[in-house]
Amino acid sequence: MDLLNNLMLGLSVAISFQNLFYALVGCMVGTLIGVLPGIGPVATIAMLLPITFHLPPTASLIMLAGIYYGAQYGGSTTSILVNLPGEAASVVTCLDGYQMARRGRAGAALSISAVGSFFAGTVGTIIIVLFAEPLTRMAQKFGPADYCSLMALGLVAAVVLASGSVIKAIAMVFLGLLFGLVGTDVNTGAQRFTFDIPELSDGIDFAPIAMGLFGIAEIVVNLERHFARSGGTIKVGSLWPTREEIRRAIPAVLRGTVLGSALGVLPGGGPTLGAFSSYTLEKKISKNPGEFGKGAVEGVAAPEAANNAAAQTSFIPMLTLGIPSNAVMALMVGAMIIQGIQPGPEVMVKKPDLFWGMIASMWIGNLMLVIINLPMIGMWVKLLTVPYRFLAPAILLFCCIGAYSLQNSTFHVMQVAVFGVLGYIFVRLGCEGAPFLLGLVLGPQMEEYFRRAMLLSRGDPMVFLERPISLGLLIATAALLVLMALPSVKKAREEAFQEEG
Amino acid sequence: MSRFLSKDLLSGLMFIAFGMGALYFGQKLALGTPVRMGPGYVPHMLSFIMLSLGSIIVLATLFRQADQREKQRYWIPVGILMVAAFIFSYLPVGNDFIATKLLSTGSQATFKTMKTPFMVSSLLTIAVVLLLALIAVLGRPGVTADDPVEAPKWKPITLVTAGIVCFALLFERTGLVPALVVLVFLASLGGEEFKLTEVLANIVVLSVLCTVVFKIGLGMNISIVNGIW
Repeated sequence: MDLLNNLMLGLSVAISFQNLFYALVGCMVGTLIGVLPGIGPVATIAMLLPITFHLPPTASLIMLAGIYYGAQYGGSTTSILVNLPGEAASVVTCLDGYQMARRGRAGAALSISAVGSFFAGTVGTIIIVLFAEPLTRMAQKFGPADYCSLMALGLVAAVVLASGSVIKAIAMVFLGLLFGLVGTDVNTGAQRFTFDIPELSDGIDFAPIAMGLFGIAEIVVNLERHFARSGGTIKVGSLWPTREEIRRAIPAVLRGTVLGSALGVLPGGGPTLGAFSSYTLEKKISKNPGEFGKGAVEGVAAPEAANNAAAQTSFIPMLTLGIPSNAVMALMVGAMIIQGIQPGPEVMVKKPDLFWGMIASMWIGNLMLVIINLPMIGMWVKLLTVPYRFLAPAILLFCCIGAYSLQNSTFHVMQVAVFGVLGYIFVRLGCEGAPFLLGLVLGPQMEEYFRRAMLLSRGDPMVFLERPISLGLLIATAALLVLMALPSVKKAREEAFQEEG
Repeated sequence: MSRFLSKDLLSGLMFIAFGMGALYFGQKLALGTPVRMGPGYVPHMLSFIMLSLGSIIVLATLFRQADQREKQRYWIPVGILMVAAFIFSYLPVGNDFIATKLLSTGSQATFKTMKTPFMVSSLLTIAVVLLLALIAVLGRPGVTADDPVEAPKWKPITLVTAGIVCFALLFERTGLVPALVVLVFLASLGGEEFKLTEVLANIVVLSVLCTVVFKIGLGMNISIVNGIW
């Protein structure tokens, strides 16, 4: 069978010593930054992008993926033990996880979340395997106009599902597209917005932009907020959950996995949305909803499973269609481009070892994470005692060195400074950085497809409405936008994000 | 004026500014035709979209806060003016439109290739300018922003940016460690607590760590202290 052959190929790639090593490194780094509040996977992956330049493509993607899902595991540790979300997706885990810990069940909460995450991760990986091939087949039938519409849908959906004002987020997407134009025009060789700076003629590298927008701006905001650690750390205690806890956790994990996997595939979905929705679902169907917020096992198990499942399935649109669904996936696309791989349906056909190797390594990585997280929990807890005033300069320093090593030029370090200031302005004005990054990454491709489609249709924009695939995608895009404008949906959406903030 | 400076208003103005900037710096790029697009076609299109979206954000924010009197006094005249200008610009003169006759050579090409985006975005932008000018001169009674911008704290952002810039300037001239010392020192100053011994300890740890990881581990071609190693 094809599927099994592919999986075997993937396993054989993933199990080589080098790839195992980088999966381990990725998982360790991911757990580390997941545990530490104040630095997320986006900033970390941006920081490490330049280093991946020195690695083979498969190893570098395996490592970056490990950071992403490792952060989902690590984040729960901090949430449960110190009531601080180490990572955005584990905000909900704080609610019941910390309460469980206060009742002396910290160990149980940790092991339920780790095992639940592992189960969800496994299911997520299987879903990727099942969906990758049919989706890729479908994508190969796409023409330029269809691709352009698909990207439009992806961008709009990403915006709609993200929190905050929709129109501002759309404007941020266009701003990202505009920044993506900087550099040499592919068709004519003309210099666009380069201001006669030779370094800009290749376009703006997105690693410095992501570092500035997500790393530097975040550090500055944290420094302003005067980052205090609340309360002392709690003793972990026995890792074994009681039979009663297991009985309640299993169905919650199953529901969380299903919901998380489904939401992860959506553009703009991903772990945070999955975790919040599954927590709400558990609360709604529970027989005694009053227990939530006071240490309900379901309130830990379901969101943890959901965020991990979503972290896995959010790879699907990126791997098969080349469309990133969130900021982390945008950076993964960046990592592929650095390695000279154009993301899209071609990857699976032309580089099967990379494609299947990466998927297989995700499952192995999930297994590693259970081992990293449970027996070694004491080490991660110790890390939490490092104050932020030591971390902030260190993160800054790594960003600077990372930016320099991109092309051994201090020009990129200056870019980090510029985009740090810009990112700070965005934060102050309540504009989200993620839509900007998505626009930036998709910009050049989208222009390319747009121009090609218009050339093929002899300048008739109706081509976007005449091709059935493109028309369907555009109708979906329009429907999403109209839906958002409806007062009832608008209100529900605002309420959903209120809970988050 | 500062009473109605909200986040939405300022971000709208920021988008308008980016749109203007892109138009200004991209004006030399050839537009081409929809069939064979020049390097300037997509940039112009995006600039118009930026201008329109920014203007809509600003107008929506102003409108949300406006009271009855303001709507009658400012909004209705400005709105009528804009619609009139839109119709007027499409009046034919010979084989051409009035707008084409009035526009300078630079904008004429844009108007011919992208009529509607050009007209919509420029009219929206003019409406924003007119309304803001009216409000600035005549004032708006009893309106306050519903999401005021917090006053920025200048210390962290300035020191962090200064640290990165210093690092960039020093790194190739003096090597890693001196640049690192300056960066860590400035960044630590930006925080709440500053204890010299702690910062020094941090500098020592980071110097050793970076040397081991980047120079020895990854074998990067960087000098630790220029002229020595």
